[in-house]
Amino acid sequence: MRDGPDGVDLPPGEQGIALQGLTKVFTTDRNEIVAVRDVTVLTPRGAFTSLIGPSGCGKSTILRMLADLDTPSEGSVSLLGRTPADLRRAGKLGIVFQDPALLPWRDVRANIELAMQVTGASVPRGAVDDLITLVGLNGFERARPAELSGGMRQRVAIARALITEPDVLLLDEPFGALDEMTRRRLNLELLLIWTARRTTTLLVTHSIEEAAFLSDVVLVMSSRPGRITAEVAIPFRRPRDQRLLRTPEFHAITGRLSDLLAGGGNDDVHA
Amino acid sequence: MTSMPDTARGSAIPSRSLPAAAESALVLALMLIGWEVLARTALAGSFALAAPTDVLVHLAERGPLFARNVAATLETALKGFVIGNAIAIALALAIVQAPALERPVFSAALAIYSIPIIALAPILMVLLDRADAMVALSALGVIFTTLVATTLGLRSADPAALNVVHVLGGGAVSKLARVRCMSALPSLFAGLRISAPAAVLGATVGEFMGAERGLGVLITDALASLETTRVWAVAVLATILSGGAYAVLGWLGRRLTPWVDGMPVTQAIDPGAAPGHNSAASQAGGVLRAVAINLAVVFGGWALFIELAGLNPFFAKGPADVWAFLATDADAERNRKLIFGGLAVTVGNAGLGFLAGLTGGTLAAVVFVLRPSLERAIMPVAITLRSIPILATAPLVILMLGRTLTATTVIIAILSFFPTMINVMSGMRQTRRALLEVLKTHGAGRWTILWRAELPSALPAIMASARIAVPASILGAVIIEWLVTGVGMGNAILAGVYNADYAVLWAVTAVLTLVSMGAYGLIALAERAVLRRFAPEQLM
Repeated sequence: MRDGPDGVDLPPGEQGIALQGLTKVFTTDRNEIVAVRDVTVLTPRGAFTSLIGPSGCGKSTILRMLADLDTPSEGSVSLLGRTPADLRRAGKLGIVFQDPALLPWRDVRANIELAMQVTGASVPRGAVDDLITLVGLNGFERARPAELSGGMRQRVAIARALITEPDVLLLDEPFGALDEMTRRRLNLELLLIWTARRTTTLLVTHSIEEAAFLSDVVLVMSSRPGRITAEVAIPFRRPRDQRLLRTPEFHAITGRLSDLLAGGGNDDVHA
Repeated sequence: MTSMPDTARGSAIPSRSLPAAAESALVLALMLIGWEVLARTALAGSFALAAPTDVLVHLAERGPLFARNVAATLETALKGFVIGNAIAIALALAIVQAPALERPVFSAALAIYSIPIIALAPILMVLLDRADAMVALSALGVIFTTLVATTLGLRSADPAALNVVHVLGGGAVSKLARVRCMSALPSLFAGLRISAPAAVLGATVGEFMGAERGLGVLITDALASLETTRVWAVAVLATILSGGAYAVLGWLGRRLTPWVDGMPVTQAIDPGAAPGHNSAASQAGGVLRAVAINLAVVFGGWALFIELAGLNPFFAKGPADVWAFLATDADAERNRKLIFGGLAVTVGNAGLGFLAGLTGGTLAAVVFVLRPSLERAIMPVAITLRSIPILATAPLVILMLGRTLTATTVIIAILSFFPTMINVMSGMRQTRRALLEVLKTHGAGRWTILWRAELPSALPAIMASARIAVPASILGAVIIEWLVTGVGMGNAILAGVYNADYAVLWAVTAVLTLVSMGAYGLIALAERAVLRRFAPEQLM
C-alpha cells in the first residue's frame, strides 16, 4: 500500500472494494447537491478499510451505495468483482448502523436469527450460541432489546451482521452513539472477531483513533463536494491490542490523519 | 360514531400499579354508592336516576329477554367488525405497497366515514337482505378508523430495521412480513379497539329500522316507555357491549404486543396520515386537487355502485336522480326546502354539540394537568366512560333533560368530550421537559407555563380531535333527530321512509356526506396552518 488516491492495480480475483469515478448527486426542489464527486478507490479482498471525514462529507453516501441502498449517479461500484445488488440478493452482505435497528418484539437470539431467515443461509447448529458467547451476550439470549444497554444492543447488531458469514461487512459509525469506554471495548472485540475471519470490511467513522486502530487502509475525505483527499496505509502488524494505542508510531499515524483532515477543512473530527 | 378515534400521538400512560388500580376501584365504588343514595333520597321519584340495585334487579328479572336481544346485536356487530376490518387491513397493506393508491383509497374511506349511516340504513334495508344490510352498516362504521391506524402502523416501522433487511437481501414481502406487520400491531389494536363500539353502533342503527330483536329494538322501546329503570338497564347493556368489546381488544392488544411499554391509551391516529394532509395540499392547487379527487371518488363510486349492482331504480337513485330531485323536478323547490332547511337545523345541532364537547374536553384536560392528584383517581374512570356509546347516553340524557335542544347538545358533546380530553392531556404532556425547566428557572408561574408552553404543545391534538369529531357530531345529531326530536335531517329521513320516497333518503345521504367531508377538509386545512406554526416537525 502507498499513499495517494490512484490506488494499486489488483487482479480481479483479489479485488475487494472497487469504486470507479463514483459520483452521487442529490436533486432537491431548488438545487443539486453533489454529495460525492469522482471517487476512485481499490482495496484488496480481505482488507479492513476505514472512511473518515467531517460530517456531511458523503462517507455514509458511499457506504449506502455499497449496500445497494442508493445508486450512483455516475461511475461504478463493485464488491469482490460483483455489483452490490448482486451480492445483496445473494445474501452476502452484512451491515451495522449507528442505530442497532433491532426488532423490539424479538429477543436477542431471534434478532440474530433474523439475518439467517432473510438471507436463507444455513448456519450450523450451535453457531448462534458460539457467536452469542463471542460478543459477550451469554445469559441474555432471551432478553428483549428494551432490556439491554446501548452497548449490548450494538453487540446484538454485530452478531446479526456476522452470523451469516458475509463476504463483505459494512459498518456505518457502529459505535458512534456509545460512550468512549464502551466504544473502546467494542472496538477491541470487533478486532478480535475480524482477525479470525478477515472479511472484506468498510468502516465509516468520525474517530481517527478507531480508524487507525482497526484498519489496513484509511481513506480521508473532505466535504463539498465529497471526495477522497488521501489514502493512508496503516502498517501495524496484526493481531493488534490496546497497547498499540500508546505507542509513538500510533500517535504519529493519528497525528498525520488529523493533519490531513484539518487540511480538508474539517470541523468535528476527534482524534 | 360512538367513540371517536383518538388523535394524539404515541403517548402511553404507564401500566397501572396495584395502588392506582385500587384507587380507581374505590372511586368507582364511591360513585356507585353515591348514585344509589341519590336515587333513593334527593332524586327519588324524579324519573331521572334509577338506583343501581333496581337496575340490577330489572336486568336479572328480564335476563333471557335481554340476553336474546344483546346476542342478536353482538352477532351482527361481530360480522360487520370482521368484514369491515378485513377490508380496512387489506386496503392498508395495498397502500403501503403501492403509495399511488393512497389518495383515492383515503378519499373513499373518508367518504364512508362521513356517510350518515342512519340515512343510509333505510336504503340498504330495501336494497339488501335485512340481515346483510345490518352487517354492512356495521362494517362501514369501522373501515376508516382501522384503515388510518393500520396504515400508520405499517409506516411506523423503523427505517433502519427496514434497511438492515434490505441489505441482507430481503425484498418487499420480507420487509412486510418480518418488520412492518409486527410494527403495525400496537397501532392496529388501538384502531380495532376504537372501531369496536362503532361496529355496535352500526348494527344498532340497522336495528332501529325495524329488526325483530336487538339492542336497537330495546332502545326504541325504552325511549317510547321512558320508564326510568328500563332506560337505565338498556343503557347499562349498551355500555357493557361497547365497553366490553373495547376492553377485550385492549387486553388482547397488550397481550399480543408485550414489547410495547405501558398501555397505549391514545395510540394515535396521526394527523399527518389523514387525507388533506399531504404536502401537496398545502398549496391552493393542492387543495383544489384534493377536493377534485374526493368529489370524483364520491360521485364516481356512487354512480358505479348504482350501475353495477343492477338495482331496482325505484330504490336505487344515482347522482343524476338526486340532482333532478333537488334542481329540475316539478317539486324541486319543496324538496330543496326539506333538505336544506333540515340541513341548517342539523348543522346547528351538530355544531353546538361539537363546540361544547371540544371546549369541555380541553378545559377538563387543563384541570387534570393542573391537578395531577385529581387525574390519577378520575382518569381510569374517564377512560372507561369514553367507550360509553351514544346509544347509552342518549336515552339517559333524554330522561334527564327531556326532548330539548340542551339534551341534543349534551349528547353530541359527550361524543367528542372524552376523546378530546384524553388527546389534549397527552398533547400537553408532550411539552418538552427542557422547555418546562427553562421556564421554571426563569421564574414562570403555573399559568404562564400553561399558556406559553403546554397549551401550544397541545394545539395539534386539539385540531386533530376537532377534525375527527366532525363526522361523529353530524351523525350523532342526525341519530338524535331521527330517534328523539324529529327535526332537521332526521325529520327528512322519517319523511322519506314514511312516504317510501327514496330520492329524499339519497339526497340526505349525499348532502350530509359532502358537508361532513367539507367540514373535515376545512379543519384539516386549519390544522395544517397550526402545525406549520407550532409543530412543523409533524408536517411531512
